[in-house]
This record gives sequence, C-alpha cells and structure tokens, in this order.
Amino acid sequence: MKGENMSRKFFIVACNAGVATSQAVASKIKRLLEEKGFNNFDIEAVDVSTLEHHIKRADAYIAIVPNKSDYNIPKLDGVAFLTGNNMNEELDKLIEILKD
Amino acid sequence: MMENKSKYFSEDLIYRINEEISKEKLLGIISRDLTKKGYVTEDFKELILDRENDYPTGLPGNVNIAIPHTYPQHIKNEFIAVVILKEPVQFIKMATENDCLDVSIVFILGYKTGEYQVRLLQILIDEFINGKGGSIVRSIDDDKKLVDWFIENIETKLNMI
Repeated sequence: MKGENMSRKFFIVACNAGVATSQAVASKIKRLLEEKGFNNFDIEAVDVSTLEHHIKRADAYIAIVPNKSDYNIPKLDGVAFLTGNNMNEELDKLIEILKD
Repeated sequence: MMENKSKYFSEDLIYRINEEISKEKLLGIISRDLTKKGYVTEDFKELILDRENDYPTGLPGNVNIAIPHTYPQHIKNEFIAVVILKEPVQFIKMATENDCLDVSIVFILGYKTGEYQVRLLQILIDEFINGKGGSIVRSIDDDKKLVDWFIENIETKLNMI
C-alpha cells in the first residue's frame, strides 16, 4: 500500500442536507483513491451549514454547491467526480496532496 | 414478461412535457401532482424551487440532466420522478451560480439518505451522463416499458455491485 509512510489527510465534500449527492461523490473518491493504492486519508460528506467548522481540519474541499469563500485550502470540482468529465485531473490534485 | 414492480419508479411518475416551459413552471406542475398523489408534503413545491435556486443540480453529459431534490423530511413515500422534455429547459449547472445548461431529462429525487440511494444515484448518473440512457429513454413511447427499462437498467444493477 502506498501512503503508509505519508501523513494522514482529511477531505470534505459539502452539500445541503445531503440527499446522497455529496455521499456519492465522497464514496467515488474513496474508491478511486483506494484503487490507486492510497489509504492515508479520510473523506467525509458534510452539510454545508457545518462547513466552516469542518474546514478547519480539512486538507482539501470538494465543492458541489456554489461557494465564493476562500478557505486557504485546495478547492476541487466535485461535479467532475459525478460526471467523469475532468475527473482524472481533479483526482491527481488529491493524489498530490496525499503524497505531500 | 418482466414484472412492473419497483421501489422507486412508477408509471404515474413518468412525465412527458412537449411544450416550451420554464424551470419554475415545470417544478411547480410536477410538485403539485406529487403532492396530490401523496408522495410529498404540501410545502414541497416552494422548497424544491428555493433549493434548486440556492444549490443548482444541472449536470452536463451525453444528455444534460438535472436532479432536483429537497430535504428527506418532506418525502412521504420514496420515489424517483422522470421528466422527459421535448423542448430543453434551462437549469443552472451544479456548483455554479449562473452557468446555464439546456436540460432534456429531469429526475426529481424523493428519497432519504442511505448507502442504497448513493449507489442508485451514481448508476443513474453514469447511465445518462456517460452512457446511452438519454437516447434510449427518449425512444420508448410506452410508460410501462419505460418503467421496465429503469428497473432493468438502473434498479437491478444495485444488486450486482
């Protein structure tokens, strides 16, 4: 397994009272990263109202709701994971964070 | 012949709209019908439109789709309504504030959160965004056959993962 000697990272996906959309994105990212051999991460789907709270301990934020705020952490396009368009580019960004 | 039985899809939840219509009017008409049929609460109509405006659900793909939904507490009986539009309706692309998208099929998701639904949503999206679902669905004129298609190609796939 890759990532065993790397520090553990935390990713969050936010949507509004998630009816599966953020969970779908979170479980897809988890599966894709595990397929690439990474296990040094946690990923959580959170409600957008609690985003400010969770963002403090997150290493990246995957967005599927409009949000202009800048949290000083990488922000990724969550729609790419739902549709598959541009998905590998976004996945590579997470992999770079995991290797860091 | 396949048994027309589904937890989510139903002939009375297939909507075919042939005239030009706005997103607001579309969601209004269907919400009223869903309320009348006992699937959702009375306030669903306002809530689903508010939520679509705040958190858009348009998704680009082989066929552009939208997946409007609201909070689980406003759902009485779980369902997925399928709206097939002859004239595309403008929705806003998910995660953006004003990127317009011409949508041809709308899925109104009436369900509560759970692992089953996460997979159902992903299968639905994959079939229509990346697969040929859009053109197949538009070629099936009979509502019962359409429900059978959804059961066979979406719902039964849940058990194969």
